[in-house]
Amino acid sequence: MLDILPQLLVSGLLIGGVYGLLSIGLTLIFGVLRIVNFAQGEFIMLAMFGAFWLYTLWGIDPYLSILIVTPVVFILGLLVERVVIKPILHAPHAMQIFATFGLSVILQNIALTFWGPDYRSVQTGYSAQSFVVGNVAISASSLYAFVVAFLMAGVLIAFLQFSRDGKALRAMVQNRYAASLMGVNTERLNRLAFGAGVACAAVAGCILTPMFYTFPTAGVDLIITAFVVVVLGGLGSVAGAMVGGLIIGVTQTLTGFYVSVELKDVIALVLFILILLIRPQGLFGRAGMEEVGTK
Amino acid sequence: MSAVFNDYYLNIAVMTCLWAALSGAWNLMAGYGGLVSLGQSAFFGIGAYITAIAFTKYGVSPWLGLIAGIFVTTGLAVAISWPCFRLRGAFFSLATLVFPIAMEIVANNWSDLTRGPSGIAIPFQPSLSTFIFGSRWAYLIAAFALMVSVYAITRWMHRGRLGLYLIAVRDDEATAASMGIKTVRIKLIVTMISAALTAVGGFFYAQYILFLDPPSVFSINISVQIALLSIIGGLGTPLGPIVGSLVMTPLDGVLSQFFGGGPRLLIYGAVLLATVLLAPKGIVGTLKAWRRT
Repeated sequence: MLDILPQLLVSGLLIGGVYGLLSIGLTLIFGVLRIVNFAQGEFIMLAMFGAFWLYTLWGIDPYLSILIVTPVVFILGLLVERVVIKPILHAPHAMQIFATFGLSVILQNIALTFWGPDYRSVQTGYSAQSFVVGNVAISASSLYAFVVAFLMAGVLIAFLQFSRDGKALRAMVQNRYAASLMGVNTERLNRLAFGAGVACAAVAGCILTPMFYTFPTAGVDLIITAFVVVVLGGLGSVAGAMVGGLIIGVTQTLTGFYVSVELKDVIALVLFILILLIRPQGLFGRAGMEEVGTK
Repeated sequence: MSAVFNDYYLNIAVMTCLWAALSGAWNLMAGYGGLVSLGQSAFFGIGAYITAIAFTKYGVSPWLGLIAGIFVTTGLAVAISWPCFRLRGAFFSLATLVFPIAMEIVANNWSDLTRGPSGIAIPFQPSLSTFIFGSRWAYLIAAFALMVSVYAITRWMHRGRLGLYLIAVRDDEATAASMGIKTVRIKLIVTMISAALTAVGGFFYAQYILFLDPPSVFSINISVQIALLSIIGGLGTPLGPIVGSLVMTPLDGVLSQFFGGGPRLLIYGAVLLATVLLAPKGIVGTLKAWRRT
């Protein structure tokens, strides 16, 4: 039982990196706009379809299609921010929830109407390939996904840390009213944060395509995990999302093997409730404490 | 005349009343208490499953199953409220979302009791003691009665002390608490009432449809549908859920006749989004505001 532990840890960390990437966009959007984007999973799904069609029609590798899909989804995000998000920024919570929920229903069913309910998959040269180190086998596509996830997180953290807009975004995460008093153009940065948030979802979608099935409700299962990761890592914290992703990935893999496969899905939900009870601000969280009742 | 009252239209009428009742129960929590639950299908499914298991597996009358269902769901409401009440706004909704998902996993895997993914078929034994009827008219009368009871409870709350307390808690919890309102107790009471009424809806569904499987009662779509009717009709108004269901349930029937799942839900999502963006007070709230001017 224990000799397989290194293998489980490696698999858990690899899938955890992808969970982290799924969650970065969600945490960024929440941190800046204070809106929980229930449609985030659908942006991932749209990107998966984008990567799928680029591969099927023109043979473009899913990793290469990041360069095409991400800008398209970014522009879509700017549009959605203008039409859906901006009008509800100061609306009651119920309206915010159901606006993004309505958006998610619309996007899912656009995909269903145009592309049907079939499970599709991309078989690249490296889909079945794996590296063996000692007695640990590492699947190539999840290793690549892990590397891209951390590169992406690094780029985003560097952007938030050093660029002018990044600093302004961090100021907004801390206190958006104070930031606007200091001359930060909050309207423009709201748009930027939402666009960047869904662009992260687009990158995640592209690198998931060689590993997962692509279908209209693919985003729903992914987004539940992302919610758990974001709450664990701390709302508004990009580094927290990555660490949270790794923890959830390892926990799920270990539970799946040592306890039971069915419990693998329940364990994330149990963790979710436990975190909310014990440490609602998450591991790295500062933003949104008033919402979770610790301030 | 008979064409108007055939089974197809009667079914739509029954479902309109049932959805209005379920949505009305949600409206008590969300519209008055600001507790935007996305977990109503947990109560609905448990009410349905307990009724069905008691009847098919143990031969117990569904009426006793109904009582057991009410007890279990109100108990669950207390259990759920413990982690969730400290959360605000979207986080409360996120946390409530967990429960129907967990229930669906449990129902799928606890096959000895729930028969797992293959579901439970309830034998057709029409009588009042089994709450199974040969005529849809009987169901319509029962569903209508359920809808009216929910309306009456909402009306009573709307006028009474509990409703005022709830609205105070919804609008500003800290101030309400400082005025001496026991905010946790108030929220707990309304959640228990809402859970019990939703369980009654689940009992009705089980004895009307006579078939249950985990996705048909625990699906998040049911929680969303329940919420959507109140939002379209008018959140926080007694008539809102009924108006919402009167508009949307027949529309849904027509849409599903002409379109498949994709376009039908696409229209649904668009109606929801348009309501939230253009008329956030819903049909009833917008008409009221319009009449005043």
